[in-house]
Amino acid sequence: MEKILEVKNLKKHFEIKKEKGGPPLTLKAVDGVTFDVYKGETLGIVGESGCGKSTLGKTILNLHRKNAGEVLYNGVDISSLSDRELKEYRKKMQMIFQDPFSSLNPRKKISYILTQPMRIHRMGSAEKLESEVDRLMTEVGLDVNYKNRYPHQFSGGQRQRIGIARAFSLHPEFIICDEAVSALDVSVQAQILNLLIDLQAKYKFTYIFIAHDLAVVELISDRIIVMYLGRIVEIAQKKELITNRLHPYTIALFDAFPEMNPRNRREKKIVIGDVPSPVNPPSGCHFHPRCPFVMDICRAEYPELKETSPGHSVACWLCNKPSTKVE
Amino acid sequence: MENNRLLDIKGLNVSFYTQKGVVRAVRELDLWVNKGETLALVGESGCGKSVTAASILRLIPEPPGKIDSGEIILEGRDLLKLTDKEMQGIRGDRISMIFQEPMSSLNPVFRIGDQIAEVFITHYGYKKKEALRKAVEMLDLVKIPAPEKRVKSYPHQLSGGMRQRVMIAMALSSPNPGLMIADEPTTALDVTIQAQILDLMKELQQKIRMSLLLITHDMGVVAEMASRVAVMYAGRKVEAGDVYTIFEKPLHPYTVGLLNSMPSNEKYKHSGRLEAIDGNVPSLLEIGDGCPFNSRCKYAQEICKKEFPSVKDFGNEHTVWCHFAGEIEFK
Repeated sequence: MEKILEVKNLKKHFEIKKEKGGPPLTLKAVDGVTFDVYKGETLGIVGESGCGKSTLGKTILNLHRKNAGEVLYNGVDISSLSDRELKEYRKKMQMIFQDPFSSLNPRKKISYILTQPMRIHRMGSAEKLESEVDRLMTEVGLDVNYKNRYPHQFSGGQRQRIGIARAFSLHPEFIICDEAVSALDVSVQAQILNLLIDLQAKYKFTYIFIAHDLAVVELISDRIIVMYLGRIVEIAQKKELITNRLHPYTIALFDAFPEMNPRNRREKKIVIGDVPSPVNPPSGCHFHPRCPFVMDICRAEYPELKETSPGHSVACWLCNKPSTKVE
Repeated sequence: MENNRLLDIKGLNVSFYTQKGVVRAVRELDLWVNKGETLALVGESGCGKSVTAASILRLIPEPPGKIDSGEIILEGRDLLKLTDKEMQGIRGDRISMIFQEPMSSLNPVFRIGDQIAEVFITHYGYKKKEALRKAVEMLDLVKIPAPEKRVKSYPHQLSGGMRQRVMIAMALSSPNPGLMIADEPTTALDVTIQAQILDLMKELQQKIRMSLLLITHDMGVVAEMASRVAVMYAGRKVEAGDVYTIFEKPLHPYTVGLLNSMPSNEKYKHSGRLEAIDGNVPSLLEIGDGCPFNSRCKYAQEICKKEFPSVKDFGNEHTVWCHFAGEIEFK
C-alpha cells in the first residue's frame, strides 16, 4: 500500500506559566508519535480528553508548529517548506472541525464561505465559482436556494455540511476530521457519518478521523490508533483491535464503553481513578498508576511501541514479552 | 400497580411564551417512576426531557416559561399545588438533582465540605462541626479518596469525575432520598470515568432503594442503567416500555430510527452506512397538532399531519403513540 503520510517521532510541547514565579512547566501534548497513513484508508484516533489527539491533528497540518520530529506528505517534509510552497499542500490537506458554530464566519453568506478557499487559491472565474457553490451544496445535501443565507440560519447538522463542503471545495486528497460529529444529535450524527462515508467512496479521500466516541471510530475506520497522555499505546487494524486488544488501557477503554444491549450489561471494572494531568505525567508508562497489571519496570521505563503481529503494535511491557497475554 | 409509584406525572403541559411565539416544550405528558427503579427519559435536543425534570422540581423560569396544566404527584401530594416554602422542603430532601456540568452547579468560592455540610445544617439542623463530619462520610460513600483532605478542596481543584461524585454525595445527603433526577450526568465525562460514575449510581441506588429518573440522549447508557424507558420527541412522549422491549421490539418509527442511528448498534458490526433518519428536528414553534415526527417519518400519511395519535397499548406497559404502530413493520 502506498503511504500518503508519514509521521515520525512527532512532538508538540506547550510551555505553560506556573503561578508565583515557579519554574515554567511543559505540557507534552504530543510526545514522540510515529505512524503511517496509507492512501485511501480511514485511520481512526481515539483517546480520552487530554490524550493529545486533537493537538496531533493540528500539528500534522502545521496549524501548530511542531517541536521535533517529521511529517512527510508524499515523502516531502511539509514543515520545512516556505509559506508559498506550503500553500500548494494546504489545498491537498484539509480539516473538518468539531464546532460547526465557531468554524464558520457569522457575517458571511454561505456562498462566500464556500468560495473563499477557491478564491485564495485562484481556482477560476467568478462564474465558475458560482457553479461550484451549487455543485458543492448539492453534493453535501444542502438546498442550493439557501446559498445566500448566513450560518445562523442553519441547524447544527446543516452547518456541519457547510464545513464539509468547504473542506471538499479544493479537491483535497487528505482530510482530518477532528471530532466532526461529536456536537451533533444522534440522528443528525448518523446522517453526517453517512455523508463522510459516501464522499470517501466517491472521491477516494484519505481520512484521519479523530474522536472520543469509540463506536463512531469503529464504524468509520480501517485502522485505529489508541492514545494515552501524548503517546500511542496501541495501533492495529480495526478487526484486530476489536477481537484482540492487547494494551490494558485499550481493554479498559473498550470495556467502559456501554454496549447497546440491556442483556449484556458491563460487569468488568478494571480501570480506576482519573486520567492524570499531562503536565506532570506519571513516570515510566504513563498508564501505570491505573493499570491492574503494573510491574516494577512499568514505573521506571516507558515501553516502546513494538509490533506483536503484522500491523499490530503495542507499547506495554506485558505485551512485549511474547509469552504473556493480558486477560 | 399504581400504589408502587413514587412519582406520577399526569397530563403535563409546559410552554415558553417567547417573542417569536409559544414554544410548547412538553405536551400532554404522562410519566411515572416506580419505587426503586430507574426510568430513562430519552430523546434528542429540544425533545422536552430537561424541561420535564425542571418541572418536577418547579424550576421552570417564569416568565417566559409556564406549567400550563397537569399534575405532578409525589407520594400522594401534587407538587404543583404546594407553596414555595413547602416545595423548598421537597427539593434536596425527597427529590434531589444532579446536572450535566458539575462545575456550574457547585459554588466555586466555597469548599466542597461546606457545600455538602449545608445539606445537613439545613435539613437536619446539625451544628457545623457535626455536619462537616457527615460530609467526610458522604465523600467516603461516593469513593472519593482521602475524604478528610478533600472536604477542604475547592471545586476547581477537582477533576470532572470527582466533581460529579461530589454532586452525587450532596444529592444523597438528604434525610430521605426518594428520587434522584440525573440530567445527562455523564455526558461531559470521559468514557472510563463515565463507567465509574454509572457503577457508583447503580451501587448506591441498591443500597438506599432510591428511584432514579435518568435523562440522557445516549442509548448505550440507557441499555446499561434503565429498568424502563420513555422516548420523547419534540415535546411528546412517543413510546414507553421496559428496557428489553424498547431495545428489542420497538414499535414507534422514531425509536426504531434512533436505535438505527447509533453507530454502536450491533447490526452494523463495526462498519457500513447507518440507516439514518432524514431531515432535522423541527422547530417547536412550527409544530402543529399532528404527530411531531411526521415530517421525518418514512411511513407518514395524511392523518399523521393532522392528528396526534391516541395511545396504543401492547400489553406489559408497552405503550406507543403512532397511528400505524403494530400495523406496519418499521425498519
